[in-house]
Amino acid sequence: MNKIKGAALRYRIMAWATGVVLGALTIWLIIGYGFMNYANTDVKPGLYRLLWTAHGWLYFIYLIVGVDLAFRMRYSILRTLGILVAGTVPFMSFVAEYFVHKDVMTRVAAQPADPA
Amino acid sequence: MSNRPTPRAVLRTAVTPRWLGFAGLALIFIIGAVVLGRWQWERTQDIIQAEQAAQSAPRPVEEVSEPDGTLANELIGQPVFAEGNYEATGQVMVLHRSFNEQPGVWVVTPLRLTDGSLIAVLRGWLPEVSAPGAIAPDARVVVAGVVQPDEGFYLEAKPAPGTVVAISSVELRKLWGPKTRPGYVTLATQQPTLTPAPTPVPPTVVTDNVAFPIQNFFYAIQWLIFAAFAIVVYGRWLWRDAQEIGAEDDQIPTTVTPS
Repeated sequence: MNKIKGAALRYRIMAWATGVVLGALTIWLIIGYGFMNYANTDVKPGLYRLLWTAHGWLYFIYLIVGVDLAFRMRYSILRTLGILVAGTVPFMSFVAEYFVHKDVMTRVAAQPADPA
Repeated sequence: MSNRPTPRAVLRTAVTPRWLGFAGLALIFIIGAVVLGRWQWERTQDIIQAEQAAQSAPRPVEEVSEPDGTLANELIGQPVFAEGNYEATGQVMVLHRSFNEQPGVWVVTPLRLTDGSLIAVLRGWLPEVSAPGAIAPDARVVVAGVVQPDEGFYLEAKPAPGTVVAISSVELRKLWGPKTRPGYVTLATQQPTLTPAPTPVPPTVVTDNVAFPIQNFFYAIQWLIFAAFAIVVYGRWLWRDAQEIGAEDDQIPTTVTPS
C-alpha cells in the first residue's frame, strides 16, 4: 500500500505540474494568437516556445508516473489510456487526478494492513 | 501472481480479439507518432537550411522562386537580386501596415523580369496611400532584397481596387496574370535609387540568427519516445493479463486432482 501511496503522490505532482503548465500555455495561446499577433513569429516570445518544449518533457514524465500508478492499481488498459491522454487535454489532468486520487484513497482505506 | 507467464500464455492472450484490438490501436498510434516525428524532423531541417540560405550569397530571384511552383521552405530569407522593369499600373497598396508604430501602407510593385515573368517587390512603407513616393517608377532597375513567403491571412478580404490586405501571389496572379512568381521580395537596395521612395521595411519572416530549432527538434524526439512508450505499455499489460491466465492454468490441476 505504501508503494501505491508513493506512486499516487508522484502521479499527483506530475498531474498538477503538467496541468498548470498546459493550462497556462492554453490561455497564453488564445491571448497571443487572438490579440497579440503571434502568427507573426517575431512577436512570439522565447519563453512561450520554451514552455511548450518544457511541457513536452513534463508530459513525458507524466506518462512514466501515470503508467507506473496504473500498473500498481491494476487498471485496465483502456482506463490507463484515459489517464495518459488526460495529460494532453487542457485542464483534464486535474479531473483525472481527482478521480484517481479518490480511487487510491478508497483502495488504501479498504486494505489498512499491508501484507507485503 | 508474480510468476513469469509461459510464452504459451502470453501468445494465447495476445491472439484474443481484445488484445488484437489493442495491438491494432498501438500500431496505428506508432505509425502516427513516427509520421509526426518525421514531420518535426523535416521542420528542424527546413529551419536550419533556411538559416543557411539567409547567410548565403545573393542569388538571382529566377533560381529561387519558380514561376509555376511554390517557394521552397528552406529558401525563405534567401538574399536575392533581380533585374527588370517596374510596372506602375500593377502596383498595389497593402493596407494597415505600421512602421515604427506609425500607421501606414506597404507598397508592392510588380517587377517584369527579362524572361517576361513577374515578381512582387515590397518597395517599402508609406504613411498613406497618396504620400510622395507612391508613384511607381516606370524604370529599369536592379533590386536586391530577401525572398519572403506569401502571406496567408485575410485572403477572403475584398478591399478597394488597387489595395490588398495581404501579399499573396495567388491573389496577385488574378491582377498580374499567370506569369507571377510565388512569394515576394522585400526590397533592401535598388539601382538606380529613385526619390521620393517608400521607406524600406525589414523582412517579416526572419530566419537569420534564429537559435537552433530546439522546439521542433525535441518534438521530433518526443514523438519517437511516445511510439516506444506505446510498445512498453502494450507489452507490460499483455504480460500481466498472461500472468493471470497462467495463474488460472496452474490452479486447474490443484482444484481438479482432489475430487
